[in-house]
Amino acid sequence: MGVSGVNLLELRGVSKTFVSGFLFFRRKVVAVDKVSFSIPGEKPTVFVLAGESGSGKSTIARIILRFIKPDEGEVLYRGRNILAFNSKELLLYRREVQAVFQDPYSAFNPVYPVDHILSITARRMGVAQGKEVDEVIDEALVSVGLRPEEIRGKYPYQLSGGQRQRVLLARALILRPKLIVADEPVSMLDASLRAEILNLMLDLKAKHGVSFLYITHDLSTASYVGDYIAVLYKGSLVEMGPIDDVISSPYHPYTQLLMSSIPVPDPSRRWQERVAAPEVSAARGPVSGCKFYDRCPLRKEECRRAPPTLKKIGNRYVACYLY
Amino acid sequence: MSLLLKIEGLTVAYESDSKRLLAVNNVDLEIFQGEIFGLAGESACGKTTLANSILRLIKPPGRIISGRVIFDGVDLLSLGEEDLRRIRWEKIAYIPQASMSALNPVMRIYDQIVDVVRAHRKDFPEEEIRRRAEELFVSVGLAPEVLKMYPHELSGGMRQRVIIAMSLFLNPKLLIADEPTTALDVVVQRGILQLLRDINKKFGTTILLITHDMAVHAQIVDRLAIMYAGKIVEVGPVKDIFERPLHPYTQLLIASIPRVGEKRRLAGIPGLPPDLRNPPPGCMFHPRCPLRIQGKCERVEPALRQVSNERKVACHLYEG
Repeated sequence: MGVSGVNLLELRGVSKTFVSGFLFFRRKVVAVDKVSFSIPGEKPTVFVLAGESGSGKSTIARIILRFIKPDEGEVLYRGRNILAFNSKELLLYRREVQAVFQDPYSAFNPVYPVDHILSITARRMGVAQGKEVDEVIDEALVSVGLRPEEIRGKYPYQLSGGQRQRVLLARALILRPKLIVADEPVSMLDASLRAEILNLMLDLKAKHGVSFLYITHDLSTASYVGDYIAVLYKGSLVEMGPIDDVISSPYHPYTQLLMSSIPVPDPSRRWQERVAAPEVSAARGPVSGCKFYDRCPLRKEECRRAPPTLKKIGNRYVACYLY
Repeated sequence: MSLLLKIEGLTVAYESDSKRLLAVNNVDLEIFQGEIFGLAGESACGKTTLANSILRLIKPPGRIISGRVIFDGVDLLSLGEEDLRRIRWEKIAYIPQASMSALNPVMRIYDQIVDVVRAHRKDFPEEEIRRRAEELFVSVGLAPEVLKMYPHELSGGMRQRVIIAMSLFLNPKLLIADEPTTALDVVVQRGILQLLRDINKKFGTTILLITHDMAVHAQIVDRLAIMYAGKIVEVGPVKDIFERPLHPYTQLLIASIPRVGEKRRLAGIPGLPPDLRNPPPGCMFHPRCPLRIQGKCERVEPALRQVSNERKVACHLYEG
């Protein structure tokens, strides 16, 4: 999607394997397997990275944020490899690429008022000094729909989950980010608060030009905020494209299974046919062909031979022998 | 349909030095034989406390202050400890939140089943246990070989199936499941929800399903109760509630659910649930309610009233 030169963020064949156990019990887990995708740079975009637990979506977030290094492949930010940055570029990257995580409580130091995380960010990253710091903080709090006089001086435990998540988005905004990596930012919030944070993401995109890499297992919220989606299964991309197209007519059997498993919040549209996806035991050897083979209702003999590669079909990419 | 469980005026408090917090506040609820009854509400509204109090599993500083829990004609709250122990699991099986992580990691599944059965029925013959376990495993969609496995060899969905099979061992009349699919992936969730439906159909087990997820309720329950700040605000057939929610909280809750493929701006609910140590006077929802009646809602607490054949709501908008 897009020419690499103008992409905001691009992953090229990124892989990461974790080794667990000791001596004879050593086991390799391929968390991310040759993943490539790009977030276009022309206009602000919400790019969804969707997958079940263990699909590698959070590992990808950690690679992008430079918490861990990939074994293979590279991550480019505005066309430059993030591991080859000099210190000046790195500082800029740390400002322009921000993160928001699932648990909005653990990001705070409980002994300080929530202002602390905001003022530290403003000062250390050289955004503002002296009196300006307060102005910058208030402005950021207003941008996320909070009243500074109600929030400042409060301790994290005095705020709701939704308010804490807003403060963390305000913290990110202080740095005028271009991209926010949001890893399950609403999955711990109640439905009523979730809607407000999702709306805030849409507002930040429209008013502040922020792009998001929205990482989630929840396709309902993904379809609400997303522009593009990449679906991961056991570390591999299986389908990618404009989100409305993928959701209305999924190509990959796994995406189809995912879509048909989302509970529709409407009692007059209940599941009719049964889902025939066997659950696979947790202890399972390596697979040589398609990773979805043993759960796939449409599998063929050739699927066992080699993993399918990502093919372009129209405006979409699919990794499946059916196409 | 006959009444299986009737909760009357149940109030549960958590008490600290000076403050008393009513987590469950004067709740009335009726569950009929053979239905799947859903209990919905956001975090800290009292759903789990309500479930725990049915089997008197409330631990200090929590305390059941008043009310009756009549199961099959017997008030569980006035029963002796030994009699109550017999009802737990044998008559009412309870799957608490995250129970699938409570399996003993160093014991084979089968040995754990034997342990649980023997704890309740010392004289249950070994071959009977094995036969029943194998039969139940097939019913919940597990191969009998799984009995020989350890928990780490199973996926999350398989572990939840093991828990459900164990809960059904003595053929309980009522199964209470608290957030049974919350930690599971959607595909696996769908399988577990279908399993609960199957059990309800096949064995006639009445199910009380507790979850914050309204979409799950929409898919499987027959009747639904909505809880807010310790109170039941609305009860009725799930179809009717989704078609025409009566309580303003229910209306907003349903409007805040994203639906796949819809881009209509979600509403959300302004404000926060009340601090139950200092609850607001009148209706618990009035500070957040867009339809509140000035002079009434902040003064008078609305009672849960019958508004039609099958529906009840606690809101002044539907009085008189």
